[in-house]
Amino acid sequence: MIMSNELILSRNWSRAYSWTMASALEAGTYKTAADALRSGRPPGELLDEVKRSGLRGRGGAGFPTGMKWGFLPKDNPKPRYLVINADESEPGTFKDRAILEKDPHMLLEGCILASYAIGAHACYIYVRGEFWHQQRILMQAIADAYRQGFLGDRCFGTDFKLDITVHSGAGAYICGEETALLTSLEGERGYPRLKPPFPATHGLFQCPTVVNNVETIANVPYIIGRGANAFAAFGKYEVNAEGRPVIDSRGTRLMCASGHVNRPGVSEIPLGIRLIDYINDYCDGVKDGKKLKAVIPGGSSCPILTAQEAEQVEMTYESMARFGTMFGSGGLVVLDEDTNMVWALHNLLRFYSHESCGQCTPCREGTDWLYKILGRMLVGKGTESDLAEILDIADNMEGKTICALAAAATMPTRSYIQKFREEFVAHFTKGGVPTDSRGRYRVPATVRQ
Amino acid sequence: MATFTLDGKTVSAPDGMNLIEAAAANGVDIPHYCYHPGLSVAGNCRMCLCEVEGARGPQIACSQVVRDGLVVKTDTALVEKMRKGVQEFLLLNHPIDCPICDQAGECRLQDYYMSYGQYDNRSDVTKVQKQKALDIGPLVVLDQERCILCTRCVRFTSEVSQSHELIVSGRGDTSVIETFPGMQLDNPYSGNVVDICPVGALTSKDFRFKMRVWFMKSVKSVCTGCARGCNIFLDEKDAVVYRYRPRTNLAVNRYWICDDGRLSYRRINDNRLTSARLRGAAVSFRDVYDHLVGLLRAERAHGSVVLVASPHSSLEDNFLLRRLDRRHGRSMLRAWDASAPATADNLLRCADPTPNRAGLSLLDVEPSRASLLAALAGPVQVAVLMQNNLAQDPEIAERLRQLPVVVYLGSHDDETAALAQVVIPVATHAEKFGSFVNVDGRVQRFYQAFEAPGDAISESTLLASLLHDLYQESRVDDVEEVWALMRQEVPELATLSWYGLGDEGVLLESTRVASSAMPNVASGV
Repeated sequence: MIMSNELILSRNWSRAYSWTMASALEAGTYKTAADALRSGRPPGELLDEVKRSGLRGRGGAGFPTGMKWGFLPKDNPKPRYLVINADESEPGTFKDRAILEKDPHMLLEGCILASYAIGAHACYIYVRGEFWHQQRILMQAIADAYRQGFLGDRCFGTDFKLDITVHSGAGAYICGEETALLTSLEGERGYPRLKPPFPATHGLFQCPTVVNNVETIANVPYIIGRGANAFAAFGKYEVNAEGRPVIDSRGTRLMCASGHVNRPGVSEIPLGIRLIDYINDYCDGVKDGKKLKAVIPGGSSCPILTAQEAEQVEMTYESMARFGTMFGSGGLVVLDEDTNMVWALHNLLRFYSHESCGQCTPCREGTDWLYKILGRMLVGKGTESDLAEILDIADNMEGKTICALAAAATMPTRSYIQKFREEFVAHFTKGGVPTDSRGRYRVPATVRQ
Repeated sequence: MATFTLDGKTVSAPDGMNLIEAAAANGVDIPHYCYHPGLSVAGNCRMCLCEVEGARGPQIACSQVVRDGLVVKTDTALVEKMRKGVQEFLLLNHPIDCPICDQAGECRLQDYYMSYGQYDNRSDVTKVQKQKALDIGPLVVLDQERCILCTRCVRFTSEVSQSHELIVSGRGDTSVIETFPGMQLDNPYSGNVVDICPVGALTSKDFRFKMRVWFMKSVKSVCTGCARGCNIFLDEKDAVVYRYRPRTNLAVNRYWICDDGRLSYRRINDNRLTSARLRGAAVSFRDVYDHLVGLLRAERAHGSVVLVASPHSSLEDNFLLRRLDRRHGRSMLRAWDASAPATADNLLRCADPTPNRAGLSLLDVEPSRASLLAALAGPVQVAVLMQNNLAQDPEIAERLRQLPVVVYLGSHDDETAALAQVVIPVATHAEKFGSFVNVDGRVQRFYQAFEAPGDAISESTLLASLLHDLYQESRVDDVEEVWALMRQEVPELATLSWYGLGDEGVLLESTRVASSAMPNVASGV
């Protein structure tokens, strides 16, 4: 179930047929873009507004959006591109899908404003291949926007030209990595690229490119329309005695709750609330009144939090970092007291070993090695020395590869083993999950699927 | 030049040079698999990781360029652990079948395991199974299990041969190198993927299972397949040549050779003349030599000897033939080559199938069929043909048959040897020292790999003996002594010596060579 809190991103979601152009026009979507373009607001002004709002990337890394736009070279004669990353594949994350389904016009308005701000005349939206339904909604929305004259050679009747193209992915997690996405968009195999050079200078077709997440761009109309301060009023921003920000988590976020909660789904929260409050208030607590065991706060790549840590952590980038994890993509997975952590890690590593693109040696070989060791541990054939071996393999992988997929596999691995070590050891001594006659494990009744 | 710090020492290298090359130039080897100087940087093997001060985490040397003030460490405990780690990952799913692998002895996995690995195996997981002994093209066999997915071969087919046959398919540790569906690895340069494959994944159909690499001796040589003169290593054992491998020469062939050239080594082994013949009967070398001296002496007064120089023979051989001709006093020196033109392309291959045509021009001998036919039609008693199967041309063969005596200094038992009355076996370029002038006018040297088979002798030695016995010239035993003579007579070579040519050869500044040379199609390389 999707909740609407009527904050920034989800404010139109409760409207009837919210994804249609009629609903969007009624809700006032595109007014900001029309005003900005028709009044000829200087693009630099828009960029400054986004910079002042403190908007940070919602895709996972939390990089300041205004700063990213500012990295585009001023004197490069090549065309500039805006690329929207809608390849939402992080396990536990389904917020961009909600935007594409419920309010694609907010995203399109964001695309127009962002393109205008950075001087791009072509915008690509790279949509996850499995989002077939969402792609159709989005393409209908784009067709409607062209018909209304919001897109095309003369956006809103001005001289500004913008074309938006939807590109479908083909089912690879790695294509959500921004450089792999660009390679895939160019028609090549979706391998991440060496950095430097960064996309800001050598992006799509080797031209200056900004790659932003769907949710990030969907925030832009609100920031431009109501001002950076209205946006920054949500969330948490604190400076220290020297005036340096110690907490810079402004705005709202779409959180995706899944796992053992009574009420899973997407909900928009103002940043800065406590994580435990989110679980209790927005998700109606842990399912069936069970005790909380652990929380994956921002998609499966983030180090896991124990129940005690989850009581203390706040929903800000900084608080998450203090507890050694990340806000990530907002995919919050709740694990209750009955969850078998060996099984959970095994499941997680199956995903990463399947999704490693195979380009760099440590990730290609390491993810599958870890998965195989976990498989053996799961059926009770592990030893304590395996744990040390896993940590050493993880150390050989992390930070040694082109992109962060290896780290996305090893960071949670390390945290599971460090925080639930007794459980892993107990698992060997108990004899592990029972297997069938062919050696495959059967998920025990205590482990929910 | 940039000055930077490498393992605590201040060193310098050209600005913007890649760190692997810059470190190598300063005596530090950075291990690497996927990096190849002739290909784009992929950065996927992660073997060259090193510590760079100020960078976020370890950096790969292949994509790190040298700049002033860079501080690089390749000798730390972290670097050692990273290399060991990568080596362990690479061998995790590798079959480790070195005893039956053709690459053994020249395999980077072996070399780097000894240098940087040396860990105890701790893997007890099952290995990923892939396809083995895949026939992917006329020259190459692929073993996907041995492959480390460095993508050198894929980059070669997309960047150098531009034929795009090879791709990576699958993902994660089930990734494999494959041919594009419906394609074969079949291009004129396909053999190079075997050379650049750092492991035993791509092996040569021609070479595999014939000889262990550590038994062979490598000699620097020049390919004789066409006028390009690609630099090669000639690998031999017991006077049998097993393969050619490209030898880097950025001015000629860069890192590559073509498949035709690669397989042209077979000529050295096959169908060789090993004993002298006089009217079809095998005779001792002494007898045939004395016969030849007698012939030339007898015909000397009449001026009825035609000497035919050859673009297949070395510069030294042709020079001594010209010297014999000039001593003889009448200009009856001709040159021609009857072999069919080769296929040319804009990478390396030339239409001219001979290695030394420009060398003839340098000696003012212009190959001309008409002139040769005219000379043979004259009052000729003896024709001396050198290293050249002229009888391939039916018209020339007919003229030769009408001559009283044809002397053939030949390496192979071919049509010309069949019609010649006097046959003297001579050495190929593998069996002597010498030099060729390539299509661009670059004079390049080659080394002797082994002794010529049987009674075969190098043309230079033979011609020098004739000059001594007929004209009392001082004996010339050595390639440098021929060069001492050439320095006096060929102005372009006045400042050069054979040893001084170096491994890259010397480009001659000569209008004579340039005018005869084929258009420089290698400029696009």
